[in-house]
Amino acid sequence: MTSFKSLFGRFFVEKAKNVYSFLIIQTVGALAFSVFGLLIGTGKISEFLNSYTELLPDWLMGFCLLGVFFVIFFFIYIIVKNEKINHSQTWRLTAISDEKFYIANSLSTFATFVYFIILNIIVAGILLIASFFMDKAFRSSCERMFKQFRPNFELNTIRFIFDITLLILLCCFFISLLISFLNFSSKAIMDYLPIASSGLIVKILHIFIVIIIAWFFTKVEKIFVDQVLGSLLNFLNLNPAYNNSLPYVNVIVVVVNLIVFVINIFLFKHFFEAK
Amino acid sequence: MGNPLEITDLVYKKNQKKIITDLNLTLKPGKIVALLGENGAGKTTLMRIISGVAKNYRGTVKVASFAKEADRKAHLSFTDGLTGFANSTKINDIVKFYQILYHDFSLKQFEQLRKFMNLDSDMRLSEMSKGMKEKLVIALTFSRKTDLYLLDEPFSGIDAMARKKIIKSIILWKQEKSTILVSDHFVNEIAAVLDEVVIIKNKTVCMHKSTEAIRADNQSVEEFYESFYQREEDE
Repeated sequence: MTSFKSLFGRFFVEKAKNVYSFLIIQTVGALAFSVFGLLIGTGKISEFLNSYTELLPDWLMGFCLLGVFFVIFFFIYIIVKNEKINHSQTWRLTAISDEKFYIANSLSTFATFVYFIILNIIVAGILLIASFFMDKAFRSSCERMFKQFRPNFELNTIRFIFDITLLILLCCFFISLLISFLNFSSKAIMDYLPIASSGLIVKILHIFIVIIIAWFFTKVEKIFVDQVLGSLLNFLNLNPAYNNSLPYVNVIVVVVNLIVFVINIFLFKHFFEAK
Repeated sequence: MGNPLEITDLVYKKNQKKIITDLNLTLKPGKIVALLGENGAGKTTLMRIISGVAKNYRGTVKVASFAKEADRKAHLSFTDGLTGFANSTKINDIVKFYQILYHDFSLKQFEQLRKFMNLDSDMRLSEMSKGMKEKLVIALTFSRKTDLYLLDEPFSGIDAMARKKIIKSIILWKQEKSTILVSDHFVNEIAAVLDEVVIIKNKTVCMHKSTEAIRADNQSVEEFYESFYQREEDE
């Protein structure tokens, strides 16, 4: 039997293959933007060479700006990869239960996404340190900023940062689960229809399922969130200590993620065939 | 270990159509069995059900006495089209994949088979012809030490000379008690190594006979297969 650990590791390696390509393109792209920006700004190569130290802060800025787009690109890429693996006979032939297969695939997708974000932070950190030590103007403006900045490291601030980060990650996970759900449910319905699968029917089914999901979540939000979960949180005294509803929202998203996750496992195990 | 394959009352439907109905089949250890039938008879579907890839069927499928899909997958080796790999993947990387995910994969056996098939381990999938890919698939399939080998039309793209060489050698690659279920259109070429023939018709197994019994009737496997269809048409 294949172990969960080896399958998870293999999924991660497969998905992380292109992490470095994405990161290199992002870094080189940011460098190109800053070089051309400086060249156009100065107009002459000699002037540009004199102001080469400005390159690093510009590079850092470009890298951070491109990072927003690259994280979104990478998220789309990784979700597509996730679905391809779910559908692949090569992968599905591994001697492991469907439940473990699906869990390993979904979690490794999420882990790879977090890994890409961490690598982005590391590269940005390296560029920041390099800029700080090599560019005097940047260093002095940083120092000025630090002097003016009064960091407020209260517990509530740290909790808020933690909660908002968690919420963003949970929402990303939810999107990936929802795409899998769309895929699995449309395939399950398709196999029961009296006609063979076609692109048009699959698209119609997708639209139909999206409408059903929207309706379902509106209903569930009213019943479950307002009444059941609210009462439960009050009962357990889990209301946030600070004046913010984020932990409450996070608990809701976790519960919704778990429900969709369980439904996906069921659909995957019983209906979703590999090709 | 029980029988390498036991199928009882198997029914499989798709799009409201029955693809397989009331199929029963038992294979004994150490046999090489041909799975024959027309195009669309359900040979590939049957193999996909046995290997746990096809879902939502009724009936019982046991591989080496194991009914759970994960256990079945652990006890069989199925010729896979390698569609899960990018075209830029090298043979070496595919071997690594097999080594990590299949504990019964033997690198030594694969190296022997790779040399036999004249495959360069640095080759990428994109550089390989259809026949070469099929040779690689056969090499990977037989590098696992399992109770049951499922070969779904494994020789269709391989040239005649290599095909004959591979078919002759199949018997050497499998373990003594392992069973091979092979579906192929080259009945004449695989006939020499076969122990049994299974014919799928009308969505079920309609004939399961040993090649010994066929030859006792002074028929070759190919003649038997052809006459079987002829009889059906006459009736």
